[in-house]
Amino acid sequence: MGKRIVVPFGPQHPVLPEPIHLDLVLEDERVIEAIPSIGYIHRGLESLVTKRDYKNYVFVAERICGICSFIHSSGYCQGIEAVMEIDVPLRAQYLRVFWSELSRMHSHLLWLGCYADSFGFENLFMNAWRIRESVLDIMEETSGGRVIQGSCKVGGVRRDVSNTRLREIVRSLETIETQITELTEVFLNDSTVMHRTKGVGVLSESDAWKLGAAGPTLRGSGIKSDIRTTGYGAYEFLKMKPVVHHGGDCYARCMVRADELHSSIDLIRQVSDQIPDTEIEVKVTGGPNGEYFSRVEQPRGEAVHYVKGDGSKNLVRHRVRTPTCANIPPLLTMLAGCDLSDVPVIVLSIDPCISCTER
Amino acid sequence: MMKETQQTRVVLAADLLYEVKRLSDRGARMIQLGCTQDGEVFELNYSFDIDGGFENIRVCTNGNEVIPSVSNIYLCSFIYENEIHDLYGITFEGIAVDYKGTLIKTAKLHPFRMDPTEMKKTVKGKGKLQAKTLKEEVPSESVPEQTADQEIQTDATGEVFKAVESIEGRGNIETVEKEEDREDKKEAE
Repeated sequence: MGKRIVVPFGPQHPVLPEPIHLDLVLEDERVIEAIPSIGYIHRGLESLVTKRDYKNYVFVAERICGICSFIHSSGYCQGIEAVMEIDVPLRAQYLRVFWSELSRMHSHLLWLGCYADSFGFENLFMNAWRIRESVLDIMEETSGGRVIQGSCKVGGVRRDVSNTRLREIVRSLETIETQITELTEVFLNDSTVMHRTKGVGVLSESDAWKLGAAGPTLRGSGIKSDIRTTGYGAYEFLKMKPVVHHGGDCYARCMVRADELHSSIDLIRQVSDQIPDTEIEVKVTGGPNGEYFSRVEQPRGEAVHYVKGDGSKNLVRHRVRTPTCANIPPLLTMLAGCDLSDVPVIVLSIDPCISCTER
Repeated sequence: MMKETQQTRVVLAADLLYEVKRLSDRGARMIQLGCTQDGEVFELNYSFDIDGGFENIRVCTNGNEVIPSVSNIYLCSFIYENEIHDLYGITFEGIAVDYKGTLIKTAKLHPFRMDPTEMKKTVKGKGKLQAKTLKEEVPSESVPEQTADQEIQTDATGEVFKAVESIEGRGNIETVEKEEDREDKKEAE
């Protein structure tokens, strides 16, 4: 048995987009145990809900994360709308799906870039982010914001996208889809990439279930779980199948995200074909009185927005359970027994978002 | 809009393990464990997914009671139990992986645990008044020495941060008020 040492990993590390600290207990080059600590970027956003009008708080909810921002705002609005029993117009629900899927695409492309960077493939990183720019351009054009859109509101959405424009966007997505296919081909078939990802950071199906994994981490271990299939919002009217792969390793998680890029494009196509011509918002009066656990599928997995109101303009509580928080226990299991050199790849494979986790 | 049917059952802390085990036997997936302080009562919400449906178990506690950990049934709960312990100061007995208060590093001990009387003021949206009140109430000796890094973490507690700023002369309540007014104006626009 080699001598045991503790190597601190993070909070500042080139591979980490956001700060999380892991104490890696090593025996020679092998990780025996990983002990996490967080709290470096806690912003107290949940606390703000008691001081801000619940309608204005949408802007705060959107800033919980700088990547899946739109889905946070729609998850929050969905919670309030459920408490107040607001019937959101169908067009608004379809538009929410449209922006949510664009968010998923840009998040997955961002992740693919960071992931390539984690194993030192910088050219692939740049290619992924180049494609992501095209998605961000669509978001900017349709909502006015590249990352923070501000287009969701309690009772609907703030902006409309014309049917003609939606069809044009679908056509432009065909080019993006071709580029994505070329890009993911490298991630899934290049021997050097496979060498760094296949059989690395394995999470078995039973562990994924027991440890409460979420999103691509869960689906990469062979469990068919996607909250979109429960039919929240306009997903009720759209056809989709959860993307599932069975390897349980970093490669399988990458495959899930690569395939989800295509399923997002397919969902946007369906939105363009089916979107009805209705209003995009309804007037909301009064304050929410009651509680609701709003569940949405973010790029990283299931997020839960718990909202509780007492009828006043300020909510009593808003708690967010983010997918990264759920993926920390599986991550610790994946790290135990791996090589030190694989730690960055494994950490990145859960697509960690610490801003979300800490709020 | 399709609204999910959500069941919430309030159970006693003593019955918690039994109820959670029953859900586990039915094949439920644990979604989350969250805490909400409502005055003097702390609500612990254990949420589960059963075949796509949502079920919630609630334990109400005064915050000083020791709650049995469910991590021996659902291992994933250890992350939430450690989080709640660090933020609210609620003790869980028998956590499978117990970080003993080191998971979330905070400058203030249990920053989410609020004085019920102060909480009422916050709920009414009297942020500015509260900052003034805290300025008077927080004695300067009790203010911990802080580095720039710690300040960011202390911001999680909102008003305490503002009061500390004021006491240490790195800002004042008026500045805070002006900033808030500016934010309000922007929001109104």
